[in-house]
Amino acid sequence: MRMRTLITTFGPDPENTLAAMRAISYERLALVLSEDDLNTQAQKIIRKIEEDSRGEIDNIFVDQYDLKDCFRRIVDYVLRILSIEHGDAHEAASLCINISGGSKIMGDAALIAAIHTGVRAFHCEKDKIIKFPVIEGVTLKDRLSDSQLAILKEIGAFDSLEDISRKMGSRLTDETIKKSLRKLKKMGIVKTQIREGGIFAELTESGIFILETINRLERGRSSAPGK
Amino acid sequence: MSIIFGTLGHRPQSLIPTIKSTEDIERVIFYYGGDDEAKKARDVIVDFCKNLRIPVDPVELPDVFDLMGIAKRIRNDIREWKGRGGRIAIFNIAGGTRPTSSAALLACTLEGVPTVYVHDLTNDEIVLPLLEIEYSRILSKKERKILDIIRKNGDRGKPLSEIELARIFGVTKATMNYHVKQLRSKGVIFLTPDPEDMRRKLVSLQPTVDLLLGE
Repeated sequence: MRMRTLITTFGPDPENTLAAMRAISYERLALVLSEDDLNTQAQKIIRKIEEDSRGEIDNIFVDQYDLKDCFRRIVDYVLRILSIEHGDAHEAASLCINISGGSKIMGDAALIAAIHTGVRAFHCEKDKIIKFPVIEGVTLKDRLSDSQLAILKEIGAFDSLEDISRKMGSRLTDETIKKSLRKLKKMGIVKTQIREGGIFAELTESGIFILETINRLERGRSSAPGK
Repeated sequence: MSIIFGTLGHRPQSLIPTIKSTEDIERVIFYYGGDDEAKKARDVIVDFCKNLRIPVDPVELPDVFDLMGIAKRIRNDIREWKGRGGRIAIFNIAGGTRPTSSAALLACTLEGVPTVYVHDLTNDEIVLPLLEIEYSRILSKKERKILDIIRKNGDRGKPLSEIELARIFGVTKATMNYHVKQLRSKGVIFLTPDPEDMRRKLVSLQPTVDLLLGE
């Protein structure tokens, strides 16, 4: 069954989370929180509200000091909901993410997760609701072409053009590989170096993280956090 | 030569690692709040840069909680430097209030600027997985043109109907209906009944889509 789900970052001060719960209509609440935020006064308030309204709460536990961990766990949760209940990762209309609760790291991670999964994102405060200009239903993967994705997945540590061409086999022409590499470089995913014997390419630090995210988006339902 | 952008709160250590790790810096531009602690942190960064002989522009934010105001300001600054041919090496979003950091992250996403966060405990730099390409490029040229026309008419207080949009673009009503449906499903526009003719629907931009399109 498809349920409207509000994912919200959450911390010791519940006010911004409560603002999101007032502003956004939902049937299931998912709290992005650290283990330290369990059984706090703030969490008891939220739990009481959901118990009284017979609502469901999912807990997405994160390391609140680790932006990558927060990002990965929120993405995994979004993908699990989309794949289980929607059967189509692009149908994100009944999901939304509020980034105003909890720590700054959680909020920034949640915003990137919303952008990369194409899910609506809000910053809710007591008297202010901001809807971010996230383009709904469009994921990070959709922003790359098929040839760019193919190269991204095959590129190793300082591969030469010949190495990449060999890995691609008959899938891509040398001209397409060069064009795609130029574009990937422009997007900050790949860096190139001219050495003796030609041009060599490898993923940047950001490129490694982007590839990991794309793999995650493709795997969809794996690594989902428990309730 | 390249430019570093950053947000700064009360901890200079949130910005210093980026200044140290970036090569060939032309200038450091950072945004901070007006309270005493923030000013102390600003002075530390200014001294640090001056000692390294790096030009530095501290930008005081009038309201460090005005997320959209800060996002607009930062985006405009990024565009201005890009327009002057400056290469933005990195934007460090670790410092400042939570709305300031989110605003900077939003501006970086929209403009396709490489972005880092500095770990609170270890001071390690974490490169964020953002593409260095303008976010609005997700939309087709046609979609961006339609949004631009909707915005201009909205600014004049004269929102357009689908039929009027079809007339402006010289396409059939069915074609424009397709574009409007697409834009609606992407969450960038919404429809409201025309108060003068309830059968007609007026097309408006979602409030923050203005920022997506830029000036």
